[in-house]
Amino acid sequence: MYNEFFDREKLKYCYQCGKCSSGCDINRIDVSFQPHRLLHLISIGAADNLMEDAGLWKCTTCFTCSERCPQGIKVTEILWIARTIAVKAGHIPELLITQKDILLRTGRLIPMDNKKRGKAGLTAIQEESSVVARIFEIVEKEK
Amino acid sequence: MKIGIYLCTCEGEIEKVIDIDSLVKEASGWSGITDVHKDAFLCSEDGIRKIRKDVESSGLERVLIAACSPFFKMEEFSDLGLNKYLVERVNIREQCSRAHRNDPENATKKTKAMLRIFLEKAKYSQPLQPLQLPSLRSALVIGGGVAGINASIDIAETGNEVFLIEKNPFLGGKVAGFHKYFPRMCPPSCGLELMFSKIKSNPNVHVLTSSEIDTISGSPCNFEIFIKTSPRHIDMDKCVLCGKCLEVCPHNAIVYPEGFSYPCIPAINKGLCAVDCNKCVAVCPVDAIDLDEEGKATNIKVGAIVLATGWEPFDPTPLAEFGYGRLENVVTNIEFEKISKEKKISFEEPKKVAFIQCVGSRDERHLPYCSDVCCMVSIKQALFLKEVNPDNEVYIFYNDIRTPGEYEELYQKARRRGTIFIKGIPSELKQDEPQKINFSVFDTVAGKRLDITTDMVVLATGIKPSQGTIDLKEKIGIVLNKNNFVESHIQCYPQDTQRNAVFSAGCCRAPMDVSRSIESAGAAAIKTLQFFNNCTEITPDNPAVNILKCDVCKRCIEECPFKAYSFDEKGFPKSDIMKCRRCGVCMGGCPLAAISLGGLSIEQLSVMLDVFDRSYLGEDEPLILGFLCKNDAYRAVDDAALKGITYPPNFFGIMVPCAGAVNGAIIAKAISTGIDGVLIAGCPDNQCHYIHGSTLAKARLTDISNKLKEMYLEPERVRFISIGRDDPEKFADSIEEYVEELKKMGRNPLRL
Amino acid sequence: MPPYVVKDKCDGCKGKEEPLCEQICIGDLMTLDMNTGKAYCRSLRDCWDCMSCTKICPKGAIEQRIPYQLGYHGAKLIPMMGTDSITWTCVDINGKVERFTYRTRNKK
Repeated sequence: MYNEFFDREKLKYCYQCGKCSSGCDINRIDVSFQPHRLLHLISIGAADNLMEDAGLWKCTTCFTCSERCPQGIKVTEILWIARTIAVKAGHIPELLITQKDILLRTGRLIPMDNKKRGKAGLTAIQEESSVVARIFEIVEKEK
Repeated sequence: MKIGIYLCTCEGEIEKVIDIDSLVKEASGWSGITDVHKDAFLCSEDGIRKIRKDVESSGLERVLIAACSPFFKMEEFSDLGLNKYLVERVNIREQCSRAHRNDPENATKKTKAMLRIFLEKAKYSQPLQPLQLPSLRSALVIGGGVAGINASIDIAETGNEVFLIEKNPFLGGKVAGFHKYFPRMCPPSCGLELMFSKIKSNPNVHVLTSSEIDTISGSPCNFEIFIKTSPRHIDMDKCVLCGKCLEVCPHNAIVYPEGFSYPCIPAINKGLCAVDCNKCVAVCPVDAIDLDEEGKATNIKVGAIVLATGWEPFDPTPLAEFGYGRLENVVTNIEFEKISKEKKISFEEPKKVAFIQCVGSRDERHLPYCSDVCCMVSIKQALFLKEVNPDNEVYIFYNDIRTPGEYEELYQKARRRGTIFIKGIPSELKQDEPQKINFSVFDTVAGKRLDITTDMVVLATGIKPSQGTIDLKEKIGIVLNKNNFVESHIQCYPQDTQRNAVFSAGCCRAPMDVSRSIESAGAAAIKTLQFFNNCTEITPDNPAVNILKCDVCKRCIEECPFKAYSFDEKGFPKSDIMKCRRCGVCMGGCPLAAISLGGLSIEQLSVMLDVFDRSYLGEDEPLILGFLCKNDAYRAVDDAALKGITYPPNFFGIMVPCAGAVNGAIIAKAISTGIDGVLIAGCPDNQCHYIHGSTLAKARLTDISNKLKEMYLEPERVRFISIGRDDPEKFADSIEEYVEELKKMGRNPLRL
Repeated sequence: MPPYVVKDKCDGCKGKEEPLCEQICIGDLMTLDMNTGKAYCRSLRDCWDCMSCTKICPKGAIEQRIPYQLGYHGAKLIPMMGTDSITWTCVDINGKVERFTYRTRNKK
């Protein structure tokens, strides 16, 4: 499904100008997250430890790097795909697993308190967990 | 017809494989043959003398030289006492005795078939005479920058006339506006002044400033150029350079020269004037100003053209993140030259300046190529800043520093003087404090983020082909590559423009610095002079269109790689004898086989196939007819022989000027008369000496393959192979493979 | 036997006003469709089956449809022009292939 987006050949275009890391807001706060370094490791095939790297999940997908790249490399999407590969191999931050469980159980990421709503005069919100579970089923099948 | 055949044994070498004596006996019996002789050393003085004697005494009308490849001993066989187009070279050494040294019986049979074919070809040869065309020994140089000026000087100082045309009022191009140029950091006034003095003192150079080209017509040796000159409004003879007009002009309409400029007379840009201002007219002490002066139209005739239309700076406005045009004190490298030259900002009070490299260059979205000079320009400007005051802080943010050759010394000097080089490009420039520029950059080497505040940022923008170059595409019809630079296609001939008598110099061809531009101009000047000297004798093997057959489908006009075809008075296509490079692509593409080259006509190829003995190897062996391009494939096949590489005698090769010269009707005739396979060998695609001859040959063969398929014949019977000059092994392997495949396919069912 | 132009092979004779098939058609039936840039036969019924267009097309893009009186659906008649000869390939509805080569009387 994501192979249409992932242009493996494009990675070879990167000549390490560093503009992506310069413009990255996460790098500003946490200097260990360096998109240009991740691209380099992936393209030379030395990214084995990438899946366990917590830094992979820090990207906010703001797209500044992809906008500014002089070679037109879609850095954000490459990180996206790296995340997908990591998840398939079983590496996923605790927080995201928790969020997934909540989503499946309650149908939303933030649980609703219907009692409070009733007190405030609002109608109760239905639990949509069955709908969400159905969506996950369909996605599983399409894979 | 009286024909003489001379078989050389090459000091006995050929005779070891081929039975020359039996061939002599057989050939003597063929009709029309007057003399058949065997000789051990045909190219020796004795041998040539013998042939000349025979030609005279027997009145020979055609001569066949059966010896080495036509590319050997060309000088020796060039004057045998008859027109050289009536002499046929038959390659029995490289293509028979050496190629099939392990199979003497079949080599002899192949030689016999070869002699028979070329005998027939010779019967249809015509005594063509080389033409003499008077040539105009004058050149037009388009563009008055450093390349154009030097090309003009070089051509003029060898005694030829030059017209130098420049669209601005002054010569000098971009270099005149620089502060200094590397590597010695000279001011351009010094070098340009020398060049201008040479132009002034040479009566052969005619300078036309404020002029542009309107139309170009004609052909090499005789171009007609229509030029439009804009009025200068100031009389060149009267002006004394007092400067009063510049003082009073309220509209900045006067362009004033510098001390070294040429012509050293100001010019008025009437477009900026106000109506009825006339302040300059009033104040001029010598009455040199005429605001009503009209433009002029002139036309000149020249023999050759040199393009020196130069470059334009890249405008970094589309790269919005760098704030050019939005933030104060963000300038391009060209603007910095002007700032430092005119001392608009004093760098004597220490400032912090950052240079950002590769702005727009090496960028897929803008200029995908490297602009060659920007690294050196930034280093030059950094050295200037450090020289004015060593306390100036200079940062250069780079991708790669490219300072080839001895320019490396200047890079080291810049580092030693304290310039800080950081590998990492900032993503965005901001202005957080007044009159400063702030940005944050990730230093990829240190692995650290740096927050920088500077007084000025210089964007190192690159070189873009000028609008003048792009306009010439319509006016002359030159070929521009995908980046709009002039494309020569031939690596060994960079000044070529794929059009005869038109040469390129300087940055219109590729980004380059001043020394390289001057070298390139010198090379273009030499090519122009060579053209003047050689164009008087023109080879007569140009193509001719048979108007009785032509249906004006215009395929020849479209496909000619050099755009040499146009319509004559009768409305039929005609090839310009000066523009044509004799590749034969027109002959190969004509659907009615109406075009023939001087030395190789459709009729000749047709009769050659008529007399080709299709069973020279016996009834069971498949036959391959091959057309080898003379630039790469034929030479590679000759090389195979020299290297001792052998291939099956089933292959029979004929030389053509280009793979694209093979006409489909000839291939059809070959197949329909029982030849089992047809091979066309051409240069690898991007190396074809005639631009797209190979590509066209491939495409045409695909059409023929499809037709064979429809006819229920095997489409693989015809094929194209790319043979480079150094691929003789590949050729031999292809032939072995091909013979095997043809044996599996079986004989051509059309074989009678 | 109306001619049929194979669109993938036809190049409109380089997009000029008169493609070869239009110039040679004696009935003035072949012409260029300005919208697609490909040739087509303007009036299939009036075609006299001379096959000049089929013979001259440099890309081999024209095929003749054989009516039932001559060979029916599946039969083919394909000319190949040499410098001074034509080779005809005839295929009948059973797939039997026969080829005939004739000399033409034009000058080479």
